[in-house]
Amino acid sequence: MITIITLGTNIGAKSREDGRAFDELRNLKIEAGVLERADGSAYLEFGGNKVLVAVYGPKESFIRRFQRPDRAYIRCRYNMAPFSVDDRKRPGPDRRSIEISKITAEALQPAVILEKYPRSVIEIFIEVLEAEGGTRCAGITAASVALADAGIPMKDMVVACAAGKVDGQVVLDLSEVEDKDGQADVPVAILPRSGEVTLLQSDGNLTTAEFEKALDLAIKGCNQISEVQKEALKKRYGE
Amino acid sequence: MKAKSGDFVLPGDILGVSEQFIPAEWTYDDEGEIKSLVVGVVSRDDKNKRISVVPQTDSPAELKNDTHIMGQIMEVRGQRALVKIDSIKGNRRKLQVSFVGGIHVSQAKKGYLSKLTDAFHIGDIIEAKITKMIGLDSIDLKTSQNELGVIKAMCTRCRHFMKQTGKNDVTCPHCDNREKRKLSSNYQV
Repeated sequence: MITIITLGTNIGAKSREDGRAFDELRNLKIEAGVLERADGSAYLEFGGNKVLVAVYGPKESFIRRFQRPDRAYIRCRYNMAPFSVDDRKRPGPDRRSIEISKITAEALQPAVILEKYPRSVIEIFIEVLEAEGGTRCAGITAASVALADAGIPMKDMVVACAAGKVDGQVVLDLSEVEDKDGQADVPVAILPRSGEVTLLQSDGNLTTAEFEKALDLAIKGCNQISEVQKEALKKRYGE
Repeated sequence: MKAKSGDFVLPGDILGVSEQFIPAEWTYDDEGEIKSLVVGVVSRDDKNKRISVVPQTDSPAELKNDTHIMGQIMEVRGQRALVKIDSIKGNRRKLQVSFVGGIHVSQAKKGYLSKLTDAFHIGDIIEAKITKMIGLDSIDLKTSQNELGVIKAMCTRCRHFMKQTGKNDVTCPHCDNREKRKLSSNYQV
């Protein structure tokens, strides 16, 4: 159960570097089915983030260790393009992207009906074209839309959003500057209908009350993003 | 909430409760609530009290009875030819795993067939129809219709693809070997 604790009255006030209120998300745009050759795909713009996701499968896993006799296996690859950041990023997987690939697959797993496709693999490729803080959440949100676009049966659409602490204030959806200069970052992924949390990380220093407030704020942000996810699929497949 | 036929739904949307309907295709029962699993439109069968979702997206390839499949002959035994099922005809999505089906000698062509090697040989690419499925490991196929049968025959002597020379005859353009097959009306040279 989530306890709502209000700390101070900063919600709604406009004092962040980019002019947003403490509980305000960056501009968000999601498009489903953007790639012709992938089984499912999605493109997401979230502030300065640009993320492209492709989904393939369920298909036969040629790597034996990924085969499960009773269910499918989600294999995820999160990759940042060399031109996605100010200084050129060295191409290829690094510690950070391996970790994000793992937690993304784990965040999506509870939503997908894996038991329907035993011995197979579902592959998710997340390509970050431009990064501006919060790419792991953007990747999870876009991957969920791409999975739905691929027709993979899901209980709900996973949605992710981060909250954190900047200048002693708990804020929603940290930008790159706030992420670097801030005191804490709490990325959260949920199944919005049931409220089940599928990802919860915490980096930095927060008191218990601040953490709970950040969690509530992130869940509130997730619910807003969830509506944009639904709109993207409605726009693609018509109502 | 009770969804109507034609309603657009997304994964997780509530369609009804289990006292009202039996959850059918692309739906599931979540502690008494029937929910959608995919993006699609609701199809309600009030007579049989079934509710299902017709997907609007491309669905993953799924083998069912009466599905036409494309495959390759792996082995020809006395009474049965084994087929490696590669894909579903008209579906560009790959199958979740590779399946093996069997064609019994009585299901290979209309009328009497004395031996199965007069219909198929190893390596032939065929189109067949699923007649029975028990689990994922026992799939029965048939090729007795005109459009079903060998799409591309492979020469048993030199492994070249063969040319059709008669209704059920093929000749190898490389080694002039003549063989018999149960050819599909869509045979490709």
